Amino acid sequence: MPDAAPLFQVRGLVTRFRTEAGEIFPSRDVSFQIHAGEVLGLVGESGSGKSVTARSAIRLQQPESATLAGELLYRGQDLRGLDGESLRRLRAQEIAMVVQDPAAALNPVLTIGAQLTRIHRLHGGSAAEAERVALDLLQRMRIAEPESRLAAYPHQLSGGMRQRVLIALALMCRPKLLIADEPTTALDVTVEAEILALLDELRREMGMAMLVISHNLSVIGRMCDRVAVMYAGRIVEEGPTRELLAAPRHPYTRALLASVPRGSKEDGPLPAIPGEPPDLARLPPGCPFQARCPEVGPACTATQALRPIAPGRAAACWRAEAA
Amino acid sequence: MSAPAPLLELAGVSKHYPVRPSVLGRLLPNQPMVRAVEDVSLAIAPRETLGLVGESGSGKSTLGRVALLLEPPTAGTVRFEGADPGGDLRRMRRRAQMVFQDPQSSLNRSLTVEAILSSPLAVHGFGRDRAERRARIAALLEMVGLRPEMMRRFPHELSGGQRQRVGIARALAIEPALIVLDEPTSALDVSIQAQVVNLLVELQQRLSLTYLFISHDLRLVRWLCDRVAVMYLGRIVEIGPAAVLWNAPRHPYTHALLSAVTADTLAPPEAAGEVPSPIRPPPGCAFHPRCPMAGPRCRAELPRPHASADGVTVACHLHDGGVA
Repeated sequence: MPDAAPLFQVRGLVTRFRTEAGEIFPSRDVSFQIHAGEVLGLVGESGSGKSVTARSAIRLQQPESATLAGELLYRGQDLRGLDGESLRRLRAQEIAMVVQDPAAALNPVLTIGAQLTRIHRLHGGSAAEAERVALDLLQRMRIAEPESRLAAYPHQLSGGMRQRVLIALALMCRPKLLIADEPTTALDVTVEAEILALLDELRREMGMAMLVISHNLSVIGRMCDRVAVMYAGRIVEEGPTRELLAAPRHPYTRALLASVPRGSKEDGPLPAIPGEPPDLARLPPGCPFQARCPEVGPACTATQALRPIAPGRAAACWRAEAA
Repeated sequence: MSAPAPLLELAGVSKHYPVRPSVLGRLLPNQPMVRAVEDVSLAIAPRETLGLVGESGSGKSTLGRVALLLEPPTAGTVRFEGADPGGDLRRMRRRAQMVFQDPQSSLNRSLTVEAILSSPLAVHGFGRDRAERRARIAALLEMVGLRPEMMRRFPHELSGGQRQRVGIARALAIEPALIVLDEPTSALDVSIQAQVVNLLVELQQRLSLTYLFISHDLRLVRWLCDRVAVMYLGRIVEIGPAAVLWNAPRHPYTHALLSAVTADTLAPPEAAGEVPSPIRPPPGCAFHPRCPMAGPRCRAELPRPHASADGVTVACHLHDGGVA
């Protein structure tokens, strides 16, 4: 698989926002690639830049002028060179997105059926055909009484049901790449488990690639083939999910995994990461994690590029390289 | 093991809300009610941490507010320090405090940290003047790991973790015995959550506090709590020592919750579908429509709490005569 050309390849993405506190760079030289049928996770805490990075990568981020540099190669074609119409067509036919808050993503004044079939009909399908596909998808997402749901409005559904509808909506055009931004964060754990399993089943069936954005290491661990860890706008570590979670090499990844509660307070305090994430408007030169890093050394003030540390793995830390 | 007298004791507590809380609604007969909390009995010992877990709509936050008598129960009794607070809520307000999920909205954004913390001190007569109160505020801030200079800041100038430390300092200001913590770390990143829960453990030991810790996060509850109560649609379905519930859950709902949390694969969940409406909870055991073990008895008969020798009480026919 790694020999084939990637489906989607982002190279050197840089985004900049102007805020009251000054200029910030939510994505600083971010590169990643996703092969056909592969699931890549982008994990990080709030402010790490993971959502802006994903949205900028498919040119959904507003304002678009925030994207300063980088190549966004979808099947070898740079999305930054596409005009608005071609981009819209591509996003309607091949690249879809599921967001965290279905209440905001669904149109409150249109029925579920109208929203589901609209996309299909835009692609030239007949109304009957569109409805058949919509019903099939609602059934696959285990929505009870799908026929009557087509006539329902979003507010008549529970949060879990709305999220199922939103996923069905994203899958209506059988995309090649699905961007899922915290797709289950607003849901209860039992509903989350079911939706993740359904999403994975449909993904395999459709041979779809996915970019999953989450702060939740357990969701990432279950869904993703590979994972990229972001901190303060940079990918600090990347690798196959199981290997990376079992043996993290960047000190931030290690500290993040260690701070997840396991066992009980009888075992001693949780290994918290001291301090706070850095102010993005006042980042120090070099590694953004240096102020909180237990293994900080003189080399940390130099820029730490993401570099190979083992087959399939990379980390942005001179210590990881030495290890 | 002779149990110490409980600090807080709930007996048969229910809380119902009208679906349409209007005057007209109240006049109509057979008004539909949201049964947020239904017949809950539990006791918390001094210096204990009891976890209250459940998914959205389980009634755990409502139970937390009723336990502090911030809202009166529809039925049942709340006893605090061995007595019914009755009409004298002022004493209970002084001895029992609450920390909320989102300090962004629970802290008054137009007040400095000093003003936020001095208000409970003034109300309950701590400190003779502003200087004494200021000294106490400085000590409180240090106690929760903030520099005393922070008292001049406004909430929006603080990070999420710092704001929650202020929320904890506000609860501690008047030296309570009991603190109800309602999802206090849900809005925080996991690395900051670890700092805050370590602080909670340290404060509990130092100040002999009793906690009712409300959370949807089972791993966190397992880590922090001595005992855990699991709520589903307003009722406690299982309560017992945290380690016992974690290692050997008895109620199928507890089992489903745990397997959803500990799964490292995408296996189909044990409890499919959604939580039903608390306006019309299913008859019998409210969990039966989602339960993989349900039998005819579960659809007809409400399971009663059944205590066993290891300190676990579970309300499930499986553990009390069978589901047939």
